[in-house]
Amino acid sequence: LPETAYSYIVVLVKDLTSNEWQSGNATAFEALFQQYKNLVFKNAYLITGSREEAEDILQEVFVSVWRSRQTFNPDKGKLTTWLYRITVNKCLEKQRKKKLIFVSLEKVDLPQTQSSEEVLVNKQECERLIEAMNSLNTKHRVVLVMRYFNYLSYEEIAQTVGAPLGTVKSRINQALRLLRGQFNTQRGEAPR
Amino acid sequence: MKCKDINKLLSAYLDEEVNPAERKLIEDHLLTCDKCRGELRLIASTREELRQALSTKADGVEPPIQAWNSTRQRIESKSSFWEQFSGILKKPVWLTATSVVLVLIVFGALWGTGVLPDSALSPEKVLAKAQTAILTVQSYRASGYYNPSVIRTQWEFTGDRYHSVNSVTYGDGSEMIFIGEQIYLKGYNSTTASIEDMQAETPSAKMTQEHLNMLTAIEVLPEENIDGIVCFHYRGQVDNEQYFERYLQPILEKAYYDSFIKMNETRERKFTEEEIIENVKKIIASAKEKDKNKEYNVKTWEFWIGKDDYIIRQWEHFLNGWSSWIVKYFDFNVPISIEAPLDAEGNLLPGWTSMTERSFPELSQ
Repeated sequence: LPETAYSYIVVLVKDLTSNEWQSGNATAFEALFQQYKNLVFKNAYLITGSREEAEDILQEVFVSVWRSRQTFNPDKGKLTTWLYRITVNKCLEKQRKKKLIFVSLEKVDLPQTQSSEEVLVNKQECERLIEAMNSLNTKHRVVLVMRYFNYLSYEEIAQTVGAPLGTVKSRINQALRLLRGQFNTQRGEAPR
Repeated sequence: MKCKDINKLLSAYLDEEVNPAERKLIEDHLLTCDKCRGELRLIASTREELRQALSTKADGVEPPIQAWNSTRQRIESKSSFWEQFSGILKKPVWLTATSVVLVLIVFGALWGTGVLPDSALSPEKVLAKAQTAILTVQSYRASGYYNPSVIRTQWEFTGDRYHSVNSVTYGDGSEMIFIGEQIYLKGYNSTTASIEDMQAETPSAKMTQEHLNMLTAIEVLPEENIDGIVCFHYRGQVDNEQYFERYLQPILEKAYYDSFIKMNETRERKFTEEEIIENVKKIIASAKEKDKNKEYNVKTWEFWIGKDDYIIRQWEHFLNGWSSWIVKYFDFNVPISIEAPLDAEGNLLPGWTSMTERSFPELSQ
């Protein structure tokens, strides 16, 4: 079979089946899973900081997607935004279940000034920054991951987390400051 | 604006998420405020470091290979037909466990005492009788739905005619009447369904008979009551290859054949009829091979067969592991009339379209 003809058919069939998963086609749903599993998994991993939880969330997200597949309307929003939203909700649900003790604003001294620019030079530093991020509460981690990993706009983040734009703006600002404070604390530096 | 207000906007400023007025305020302020400039640098470096850290952390992290299987199993376990009775199942675990133990004890005590029915009839014999019983049913009704969704369909059958009404599948209240080669449709969107799909989804007695013939590895399950009739209850596996040939192959053949014809419209050198058939055959062979090797590709059927008359009262087909199709039969041999939706002059009634079953070249030979 000529390759061009085959790819043409693939495109045709793909086009015919693009929304098939919504009508309950199992194969199409599996394809959807394969296409987006990394996106969901990586986000869940970064938000929760745990591979095990991310695995669990990945499953929960796709169970939800399958069960509410008829409610997704591609005309009203992007599939990825919907997936982010479900992922975030699952992460928050997990956190509620665990009854995490939040690191509240009052507990962390906010950095005031900085003497010199610091650039992360190695993996160890990255690890420590992630560790610092993991000590923030889930709501803060969510906005940081959405913005600085997925590069979503504030508007998209607002849709994803179901919060007003103003809240997103201040939450990101707050999260970055908390993160810096936590990072410095972990480094044993006096918070500046 | 005070430093405090400016500070609140700095990350949005760096993310280019401030409006022009805010931007101007911030930039004007930064020109004159060392402290806020320092703060800006601090936030900027934190952002950069975080970007780098997040991307490094997520790099190469992937869900485990079995993620799909685990997810599928989870969907499967959450979407059983009996989920609608989950209220009952949500009783405390100890209660359920106790009931199970009690039933087992009672069952154990009665076993071999003659109180329990002797299951002398092998499933093979029952299935053979069911095959004969199907032939005695001339007209019947059926209702079915796909689980876990809300798609419901009602059918009535008499002779070679049938009539179906869908609740959701292809549009609310869509109807289809098959009379011989003539098909009448109402409310169908041609882009969502093909005649082949619709036929494959018609649980006629003929289809049921075919299913019975494809069953292997039959298990006997506890008898159950369907609409007041005690029924034998069996579970079997459908032979994948047979299933593919019977249900998938015809649909795929026609779809691929059509796509080649469509391709020819834009090609300089057109595929000949022979080439098309040859190519479609190749694609089908590869699809068949793939279908065979799908790890979860086990199609399970459950049947409920009336103990007295061997008429099939219900079946449930578990498709690809977690979704299922449940069909229940009733109104056996009651008078059912199915007529073409035509007025006295032979014109189609409003909303109806008609077509003749399309013919395609025989590819499977």
